[in-house]
Amino acid sequence: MHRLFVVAGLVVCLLGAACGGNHPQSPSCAAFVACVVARDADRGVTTNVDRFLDDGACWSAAEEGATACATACARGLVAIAAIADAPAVCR
Amino acid sequence: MRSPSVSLALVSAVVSLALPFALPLHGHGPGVIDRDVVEVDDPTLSWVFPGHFDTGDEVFTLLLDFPDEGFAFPIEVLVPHQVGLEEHRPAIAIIAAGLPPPTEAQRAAVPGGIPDGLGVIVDDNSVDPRPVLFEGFMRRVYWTSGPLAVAVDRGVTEVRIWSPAGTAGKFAIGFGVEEDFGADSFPPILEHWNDFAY
Repeated sequence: MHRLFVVAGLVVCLLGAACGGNHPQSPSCAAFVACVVARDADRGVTTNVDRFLDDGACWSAAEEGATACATACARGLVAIAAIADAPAVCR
Repeated sequence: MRSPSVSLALVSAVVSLALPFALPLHGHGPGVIDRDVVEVDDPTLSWVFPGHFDTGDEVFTLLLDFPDEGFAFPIEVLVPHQVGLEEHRPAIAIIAAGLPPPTEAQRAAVPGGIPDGLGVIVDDNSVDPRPVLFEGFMRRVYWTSGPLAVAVDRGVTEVRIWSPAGTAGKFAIGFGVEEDFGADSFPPILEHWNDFAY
């Protein structure tokens, strides 16, 4: 019976489930969030950045999901930095 | 000693029971780009929208409405990793309030123009070497433009998709992180199997 659950667990794992982990927030996303929050304060708006926060959905997914978020934040930060009046924390 | 068929049945039962809990962890919700302009039901969730350039001259638009507050999310363009699509690199323009003001070059490049007062981020899908992505849910391999995080203000965001080189072929737009992948996600996948499973 024990072997049965091991096999079942592996199958579920291979299907892509339950093998995700809690990954640390990437430095790029910490920087992206800080930039967006600072820019929001300057502009008087609110942006939902939940998924990129240190307890966000980016880091509870499989490793490739966390890596994708990290890459996305790095590229996104470059795009915001191009804005003339972007806060210093964005540069 | 349990017979192999009984063991297989038990494993299948366990997997079947686990699957509904497992699926929400992985996989974008399925949409499809089957017309020029497609409105996304709830753009705060994770989606993948496959589409197809028949001629290479088409321009597709996804409309993402964030009525209550601004929203930050990753987005990327995927192309099936297949012979014949090596040069197929659809571009996207994310057009929304809160994004950088368009340059003259961007105004010239983005088909359909950019409304006054809105900003734009253009990803021309030119990262080299071209990143490769293994999509674990459908177990397919794609070239990707590379994920890009954008932070848009509340209101409607347009994602415009075109083929700068005029190449034809399949593509998909993937965006978002939080998932809501339930039983109602399967019929669209089955209906458009050739798009999702290319």
